[in-house]
Amino acid sequence: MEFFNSALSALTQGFASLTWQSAVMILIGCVLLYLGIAKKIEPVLLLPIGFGIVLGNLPLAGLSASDEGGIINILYKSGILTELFPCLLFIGLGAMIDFGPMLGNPVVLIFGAAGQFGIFLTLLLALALGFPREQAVSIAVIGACDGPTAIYVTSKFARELLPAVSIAAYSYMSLVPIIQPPIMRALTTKKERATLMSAGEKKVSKTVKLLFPLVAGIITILIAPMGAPLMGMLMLGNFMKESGVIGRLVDVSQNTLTNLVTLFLGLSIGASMLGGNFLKWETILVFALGLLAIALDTVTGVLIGKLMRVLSKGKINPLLGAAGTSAFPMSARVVQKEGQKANPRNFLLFHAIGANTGGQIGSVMAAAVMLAIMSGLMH
Amino acid sequence: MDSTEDEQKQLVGSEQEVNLKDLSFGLTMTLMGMGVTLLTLVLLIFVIYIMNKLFPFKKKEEKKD
Repeated sequence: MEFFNSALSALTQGFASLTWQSAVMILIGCVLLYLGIAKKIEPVLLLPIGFGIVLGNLPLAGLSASDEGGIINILYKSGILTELFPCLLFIGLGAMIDFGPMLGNPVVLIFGAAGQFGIFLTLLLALALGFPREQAVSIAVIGACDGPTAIYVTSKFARELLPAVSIAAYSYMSLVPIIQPPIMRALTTKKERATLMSAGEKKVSKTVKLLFPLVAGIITILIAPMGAPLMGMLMLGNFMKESGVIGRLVDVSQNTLTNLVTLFLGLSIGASMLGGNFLKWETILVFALGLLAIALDTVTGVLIGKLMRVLSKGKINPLLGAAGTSAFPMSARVVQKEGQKANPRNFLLFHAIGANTGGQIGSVMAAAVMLAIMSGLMH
Repeated sequence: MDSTEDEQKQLVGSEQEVNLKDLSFGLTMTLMGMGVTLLTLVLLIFVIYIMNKLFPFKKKEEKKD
């Protein structure tokens, strides 16, 4: 009987240790799985995150990111806390990006800067709401619309916010087609949105395409060395692609490396979302501020777009400003769609892709400057 | 009684100081962050213009493609 009792208690131990917080988190994990599978919202990321949440919150399983020595703990410590995963993702991103449209019309890089204003305005708001500086910077960087950059900055300064920031960054990226259009329409007249731009792609020589990642990498890293891991890997990936001599490595970076790291990153982030540290008002505030950051990016981008339209005597469509975020290529597609709604002859995609790639560089620069200032203050 | 009032005043004073420090931190970050980001991208625009001038696209490349 004693054996029976101890066997029974061993078998029911898991159920007995399940707290309400863990149960709620498991439910949240299942909701993310549903959104990823049924609604196709960022399935590549939401599926591993959702499953990671479920595994991490199962009591006694030893699969949470904080369970010392567990398989996910090893991934979390070696990939997230060392900032390795975001950097590896940037190699893949660089190998996928075509800077051609931006190199053909470099003025659109201005939009890459305009699309980062929201980050800093949200930083001010987060500070006003009482968040400590490190947390405020991490929340604001959600506005970069760039998952790996947000994870990189947050893992340096506010690891406790990592789950909320990464989920917010990735889910808002996929919600860009819903967030941006109403703001774009509210800030522009139909006449402005209908502004025609030449549809033709301005060709750029192969030498320029090859030299750009090298030259831009050197310049930006010299200006903000703290962003070197991200910028360096982004430009390395692009340089490999443009070199045209290492197709196999480019293929691995674009596919195998990116997919594998996304799986490990999602699983580790998911398994770090434990009931006790995630179910807080603070998390809701992080999500709200992140949404505001992306909305403000769009507002400032479109306003700068309007200014550019005036300065260029009506040659630039102000909608392009909305593509200055680094939500690639979602923002560019949104701009194309809204432009064509206002004028069916409008073809803005090429210019918007240029602004969007400018946003990629702009967001890493903005993050690098924030890292530099924060590090300067800490030392 | 006096000492409690003094302590309260000190607390309010230090809280305001913290708020002011945070505000100046936020404004510095905003000005520096946006300024440096914008200047870097403007510099890159110039670099791209120069590179396009030095290595213009030739029709031969199109044929090769």
